Amino acid sequence: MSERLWDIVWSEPLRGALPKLGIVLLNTAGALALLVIGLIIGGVARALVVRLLRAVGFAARCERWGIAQAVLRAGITRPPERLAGAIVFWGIFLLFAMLGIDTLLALPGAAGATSLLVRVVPNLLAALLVLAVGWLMANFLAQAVLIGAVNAQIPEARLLSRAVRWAVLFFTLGIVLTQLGIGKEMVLLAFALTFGGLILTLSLAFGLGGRDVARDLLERRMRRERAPEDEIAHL
Amino acid sequence: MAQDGLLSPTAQAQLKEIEQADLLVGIPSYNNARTIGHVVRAAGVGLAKYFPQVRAVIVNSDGGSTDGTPEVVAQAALDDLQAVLVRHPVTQAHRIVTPYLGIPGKGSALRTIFGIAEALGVKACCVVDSDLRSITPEWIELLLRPVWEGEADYVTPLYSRHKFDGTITNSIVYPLTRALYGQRIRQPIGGDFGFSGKLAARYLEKPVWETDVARFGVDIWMTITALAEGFRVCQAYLGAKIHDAKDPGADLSAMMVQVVGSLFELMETYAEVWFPVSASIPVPVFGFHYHVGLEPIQVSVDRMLAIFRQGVRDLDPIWTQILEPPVFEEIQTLAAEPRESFRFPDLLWVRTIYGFALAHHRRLLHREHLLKSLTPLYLGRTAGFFLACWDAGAAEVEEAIERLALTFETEKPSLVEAWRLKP
Repeated sequence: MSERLWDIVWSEPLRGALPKLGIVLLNTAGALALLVIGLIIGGVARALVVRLLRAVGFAARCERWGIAQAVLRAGITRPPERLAGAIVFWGIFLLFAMLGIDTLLALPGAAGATSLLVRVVPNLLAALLVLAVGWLMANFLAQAVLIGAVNAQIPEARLLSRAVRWAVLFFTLGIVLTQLGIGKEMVLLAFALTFGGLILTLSLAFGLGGRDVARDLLERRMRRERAPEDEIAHL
Repeated sequence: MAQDGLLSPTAQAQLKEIEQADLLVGIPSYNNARTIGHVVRAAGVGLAKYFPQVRAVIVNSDGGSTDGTPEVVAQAALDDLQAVLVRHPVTQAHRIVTPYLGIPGKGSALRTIFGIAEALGVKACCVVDSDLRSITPEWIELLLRPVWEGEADYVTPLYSRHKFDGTITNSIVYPLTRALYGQRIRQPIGGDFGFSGKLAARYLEKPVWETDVARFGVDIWMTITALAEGFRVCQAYLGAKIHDAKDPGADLSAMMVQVVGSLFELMETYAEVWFPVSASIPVPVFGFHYHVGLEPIQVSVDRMLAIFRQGVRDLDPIWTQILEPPVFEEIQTLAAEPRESFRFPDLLWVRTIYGFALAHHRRLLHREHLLKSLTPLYLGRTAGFFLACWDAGAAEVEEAIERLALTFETEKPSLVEAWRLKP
């Protein structure tokens, strides 16, 4: 009787659970191994990338292209080659981590992690690229507008420059969200409304509220075209 | 022939016909129908009067004028000859009117002239601007004679100018060129030059004709190439330079990009040449120096100061990347000065220019932004200079420019050191 009871309580569940436990342990070990491999490969790739970028003078090139200044302006103080190395490391580690989750216990929810990653990553990368280009363009155009406005003696040079920066960033954000498939229609509508509203507001503000300023600006412009204030030949 | 790609079939046919010449006067042009007739006549009379026995050619290299400039050149009659010559010249200058090929700009126009000079094997050439109103036949002699007689390979002009004229030349181009290359060329970008056939051939060899040199900055490029490559240089006193009114909308910051940008770019090319130069020597002057009456000009110091002060207020995120902290702080202090006591010290200006040259070298900023952001500082310096020299005579102003040039020279070691520190 007692043997039967033992079988029911312990032996039979244990016989059924043991293979499953073995699979769980095996999957866990596999997932851990994948994480470790991800760490190692990621670390090696990071070191290689950093060395390679140092060898080709990546930091100087970033300075030359204005990327270093833009990155610094965003509060990232890490040198450009180390930043690139970190991106490579985390990219590789994330890939192996996803594979690990897939392997781990073969959980129903985690089963599609890799395929999800494969589906999402290209869009994510494209969005990041758009964000980076938009950010650089925003800084470049804001700087150009600032210098041009100061040289043209426009008193609101900084305001103009900031407006250009934020307009480009806002536009970039819209593209990024669309790329990621987040509320496509909503983003489109929000942009149409915002830009339309902004232009209308500016037109009204300039045409009605700032009628005198507008007249003054136009008059000054016309005066400048008719008679230059300085007669010196600079060259 | 190397010039085949540079010249139109008509010009090539003319070259074959002329075969050889000893002197060449080049006139680059673009929509200068109003003035070019006078320039061609002055060139023709100058050649006939001062080089009557010599085979010469006048070349108009045109950038596709739509106002009939080439027609004016072709039809310009040398009817002044009897007024200036006792005897009719033995030879009369040939005339070539050709559109230039390549990138639009004065550089491409001059390239065509160099090509023709090489093809004809000329000994001495000169180029004169097509918008000149004050050119006389004597200019042609003064620009050609030193080369013709083997005294020099390159002749730069020396003009009498209003004390407030040519401020980019006076505050940047002249003192910087002098400090870098060690020769006191007062008008390095005068626009009218004389040069030997040998130097023209050297210019043609340079791989710059598809770059910005073809568009703008060719004047300073010619001068610095001649200096840096050891050609003998002299100056010719031409008197007053009066030219057709320039476009009043001409953008000062675009001028900065073109002229100062070319100067900084050439600092890269010839770094090993200018590093060891530690002092400057005078450059011989040809021509009789006389005083000319100059028309007064209108300047707006208040407008210049306003732009400078706005620059200090708004451009600090840019200037702090370019200038050393003490230099920037001094500029900030200066902006608070009232008009009456406003002066931009020489030393501060020299350190500012060297700071911009180093930032250009290290590519700290997009180069066009960097150069355009110099404009308010230049206007501040110019306003300070005008205020300091308001009642000064031409000689005193010249002394002030000399002091500035010496400051450029004494500060040069710090530029060389910083340049070498971070190539």
